[in-house]
Amino acid sequence: MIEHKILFTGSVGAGKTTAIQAVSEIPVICTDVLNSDLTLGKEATTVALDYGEVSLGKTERLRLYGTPGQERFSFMWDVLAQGALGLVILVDHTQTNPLQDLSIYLNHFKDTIRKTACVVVLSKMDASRPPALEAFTEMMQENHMVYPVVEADVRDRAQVLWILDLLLVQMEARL
Amino acid sequence: MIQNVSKEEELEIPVSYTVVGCTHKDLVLLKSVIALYGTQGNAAWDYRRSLEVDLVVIGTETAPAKVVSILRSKEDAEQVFLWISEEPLSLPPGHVAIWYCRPPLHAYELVGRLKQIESFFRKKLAQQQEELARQQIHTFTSDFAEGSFSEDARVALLRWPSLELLSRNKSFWRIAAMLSARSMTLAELAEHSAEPRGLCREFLQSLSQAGYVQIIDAHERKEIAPPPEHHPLPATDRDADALKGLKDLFRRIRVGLGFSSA
Amino acid sequence: MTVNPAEKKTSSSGKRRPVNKELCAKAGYILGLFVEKLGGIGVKSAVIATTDGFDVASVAMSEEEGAKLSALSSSISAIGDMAIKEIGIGVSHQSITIESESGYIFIMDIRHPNCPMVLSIAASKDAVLGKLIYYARQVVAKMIEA
Repeated sequence: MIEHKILFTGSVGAGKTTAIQAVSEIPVICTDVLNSDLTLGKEATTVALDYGEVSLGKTERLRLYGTPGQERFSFMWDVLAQGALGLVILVDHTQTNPLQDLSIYLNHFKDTIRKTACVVVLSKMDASRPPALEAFTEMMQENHMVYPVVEADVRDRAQVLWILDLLLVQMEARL
Repeated sequence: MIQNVSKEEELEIPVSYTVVGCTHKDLVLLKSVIALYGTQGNAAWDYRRSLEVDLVVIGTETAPAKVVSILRSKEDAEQVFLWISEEPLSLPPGHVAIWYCRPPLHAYELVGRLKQIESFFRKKLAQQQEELARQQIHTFTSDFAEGSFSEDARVALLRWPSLELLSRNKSFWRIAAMLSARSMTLAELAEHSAEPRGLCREFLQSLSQAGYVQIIDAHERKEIAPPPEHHPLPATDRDADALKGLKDLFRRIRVGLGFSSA
Repeated sequence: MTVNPAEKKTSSSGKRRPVNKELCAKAGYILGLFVEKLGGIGVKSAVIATTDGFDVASVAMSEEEGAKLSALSSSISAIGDMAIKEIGIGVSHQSITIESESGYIFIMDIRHPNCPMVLSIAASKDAVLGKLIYYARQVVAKMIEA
């Protein structure tokens, strides 16, 4: 069996597990546990990884991995990033400082991103609340990082496919 | 054409100089030290008789009033001086740059000053070239917007385009994602995206007008400044088989995910 | 020996962490006794963490190390459960032992009704594994009632 990997990372509660569920052909294998951090406002949180699959014929499959969001699990980030074809960074726009959240992942994964491809996705976006999408783009420009920055509802399969399309065209463009 | 400004030491810089009011002994020493110094792969030093030079050396025989008048006359030209003088005089602030050397001249001290002056000229030249490069990019960009650009020009995306720009056409998102991966010509972009050439041109022009792109000179094939991010493929992936393999893989991923376009 | 009940610590988001004080204090006390009893035979340090990776109490290690082992053991425990389920040999693990050339990490889940936790013990090769497991079970039993 030949395996390929795409990684979903990003802030807690941004919808990494949900995004994988939206496109996986198998029920997503989760390491969700009871969340004890009341500041996060959700019941379950991923502590090791999420795993979904898309088969590409009989002898090949695409693995979709989700990382835990919290920085204290960054050791899992490195384990999971190995050999990834590309990275989707999800940022929960309703959090206190989503710009800073994004910079954590951009910074941590910068080597992987440079070698592969990346799409930044703002989830739960409320356009009436700052920071605007432009602020994320500008922050990335200041750091000389030019990657797609989009807003999406990751519960919607079509939108997750669109995100993966933006990731794939980057990989293809570099061939 | 523009040289790489970051490699300062590779810049060949010409420095013209003249000498006023100098003792014969100092003049001989000065000229021979500069001649020797100039053979060591440094700047090309060139003696002239006129005052229209990069560096004016003022000798001990120059009267103070004359010194001030020379300095004043050159204030606007950002003139550089080497003054053979016991102690620095307090001078009105201006655009002049002055180095001092104690009389009578000694070779070791003089070489030290020459090095400082040369380094000053190098920095200045590098700044000028950077400025020139910036103007050039601007010129290319303007050409581009007017549609008179060479279609061979490579375009590098400097930032992800605004929501407003991308929303004009739903294909723009994909084309922008491609361009974010590497710099491309119009033809390459049209080929990769399988979108009409006209649409790609319209997109590039919109980007250019918004100042989101950097044009890389078509003729020189040389980048004026490094693009913000460079994404080379790993060397192992470069051979033809691997390339085809990857192409097929991405196609299979599309089929697997159920893209309607695949 | 340093016992660090984690009642005063904050989560990575900088806000007050959620586990209640008494539980942290009890965990610190129980772990302290455990390491005291087994310290002579190779047990180096131990931590009790919430299943989502916050340290409740740690013994004989710095706060930073405690926080690190807390996050690690919650991930390992979750992967263990995942493997058990996927392979179809149960719903959750009873213990996980990681062995290196010079020591062990031993992990057990604490199925506390309100606050599920993970016990993680680091020991050298001098440790008698049977004895360590016997006492670790007692820690788990006491913590479930805590």
